Amino acid sequence: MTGTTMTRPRRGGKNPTVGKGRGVPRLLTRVAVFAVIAAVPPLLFDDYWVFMSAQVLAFAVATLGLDILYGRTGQMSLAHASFMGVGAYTTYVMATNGYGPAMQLAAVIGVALIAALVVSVPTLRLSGMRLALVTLAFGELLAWAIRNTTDLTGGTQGASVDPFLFGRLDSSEPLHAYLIALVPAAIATAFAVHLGRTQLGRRMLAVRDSELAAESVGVAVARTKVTAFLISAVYAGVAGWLYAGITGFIAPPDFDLFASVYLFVAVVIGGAGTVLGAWLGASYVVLMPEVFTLAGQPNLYPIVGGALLAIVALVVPDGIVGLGRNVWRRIRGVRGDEEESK
Amino acid sequence: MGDLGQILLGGVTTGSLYALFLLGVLIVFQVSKSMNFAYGQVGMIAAFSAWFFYSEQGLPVPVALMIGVLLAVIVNSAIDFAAIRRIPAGRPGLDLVVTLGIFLLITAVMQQLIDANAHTFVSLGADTRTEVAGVVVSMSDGIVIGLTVVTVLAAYLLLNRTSLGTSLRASAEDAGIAQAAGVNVRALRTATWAVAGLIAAVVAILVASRLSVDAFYMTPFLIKAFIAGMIGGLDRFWLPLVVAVALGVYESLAVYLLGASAGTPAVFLLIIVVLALVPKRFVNERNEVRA
Repeated sequence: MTGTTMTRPRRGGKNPTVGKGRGVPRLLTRVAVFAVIAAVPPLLFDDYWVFMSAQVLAFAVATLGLDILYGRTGQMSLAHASFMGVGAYTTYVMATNGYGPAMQLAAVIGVALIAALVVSVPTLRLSGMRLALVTLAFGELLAWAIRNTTDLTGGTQGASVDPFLFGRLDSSEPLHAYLIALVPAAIATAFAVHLGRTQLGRRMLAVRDSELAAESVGVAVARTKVTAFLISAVYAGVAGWLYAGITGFIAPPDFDLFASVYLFVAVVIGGAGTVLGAWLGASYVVLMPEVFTLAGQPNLYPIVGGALLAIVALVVPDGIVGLGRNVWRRIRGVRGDEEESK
Repeated sequence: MGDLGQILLGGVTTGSLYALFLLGVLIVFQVSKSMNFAYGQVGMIAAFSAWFFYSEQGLPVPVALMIGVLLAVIVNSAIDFAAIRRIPAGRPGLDLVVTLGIFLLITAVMQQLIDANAHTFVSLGADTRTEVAGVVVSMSDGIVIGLTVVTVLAAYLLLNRTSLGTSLRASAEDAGIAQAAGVNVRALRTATWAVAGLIAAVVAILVASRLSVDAFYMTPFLIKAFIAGMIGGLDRFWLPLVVAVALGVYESLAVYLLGASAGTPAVFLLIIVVLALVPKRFVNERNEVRA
């Protein structure tokens, strides 16, 4: 327990001593790197891969949200895809009633918040394991609700959603969808990065590492957990909104237990507790099925996903990011030794 | 009266299956302090592969069932051996993450090896019916309730009245001290996981014989058994089992009063209400601190 606290100091924790002089250039560097990476798909890829990239953006919002809940607060949700479903179906219902994307987004956030409150408030004043189980039941409930409201939601057959229209941007065009999705994805990323430096973000880490210790230094454990759950549900809802607008078609299997497990796989493989890990996870969850389909073995994806989740969680609990960080440290460590010996 | 009796019987039977399944969850949790999310899928392996062996490969039904049960026992022991024991200390919740991966793996592998469709399972007495006081009782109902009562009682006596039970409880309490006192903790632990695998296999086969079998049918069942365990408390013995039976009755009453599709929302409503209203000390685990 203390091991995780000791080995994982947040970089942000050191910032106040560094001073403001380095903060701004660093921020600019990060924005520039993000912009350069974001410019790659529309410039270099064809329509299909731009479409896939737009989906990566939507799923990145989802994995960032799950990462805030699991990676930073240590709470497990097995209904993250269901909350995406809440967002996607709210979008669909609003769209069929003639509301535009902005109103859809407002409704999505509202509905996601209400659903998250119902799930989290009774559950999170108790232990975290209960949340995992209640979210399971919530996933079942959503599947049931969709099955039994065919007139409203299209039922098990799924439903086609009208594309978003923002001025001259139309989300049925892959490039436009990509540009539309870029904005919420960037905001979500910026917020997640910033969260690590706020008091709330540090409270979350304290709750993750030891609830008892967090409580003893005056952290309102239950309130922190509920806040994390609400933030993650809004992220998931927005991701569902984007997903519905980008793909134009939603069906219950997109949001079932297995979809939630895949999101979990994504966060764990990418590296729980880091923004970069969430992005790597989103790329994994969108692009990996494509890779297996291109290789002619689409059935291998769930098998590999399950095995990876178990193995990564056991062997490299910090995922790709943790692995990279270790390698980086070793390289730097070696160099540092050499300098010392000189 | 006949109608209500029928509903109650159905509820008690389903609840008994939840309880028997939960017994396997409880003994594993109490001995190794971990939850196995793939537990339902372990049972699914037994039922689905038994179906495959008797229906597709033409083996006699009893032989196919035995192979299925054996597979489930092996897989459950292997989960402990290969994964749960290797979880580093000080990472609470990692057992759920790891077994979530195993859950996905088992589901995908079984789907790949057999298929993704639902199949009718051998009936095991679900068709043999008699009428008792206006209530139709099938042989399967009798087997389920009888087996649950006998198994639960046997487990209780084993845990509380034998030296083996004392060793088990000792190693659950503190593995290090138990080991020092001469208890073979590792063997006991493996045995517990094997017995839990056996229980999962039996329950899954019984559930399959009453419904049908495919790669997914145990998941809703697992969720409800876990919910009963969560409400009752995973470190207790009688309360979660009683809650499991009550949950079965509550579910069939909801279906009877509100229609066939009311089961899922009724269960969800129940857990939200129970968790919101029941005082914290009743529903919390006693040894919350795992640091």
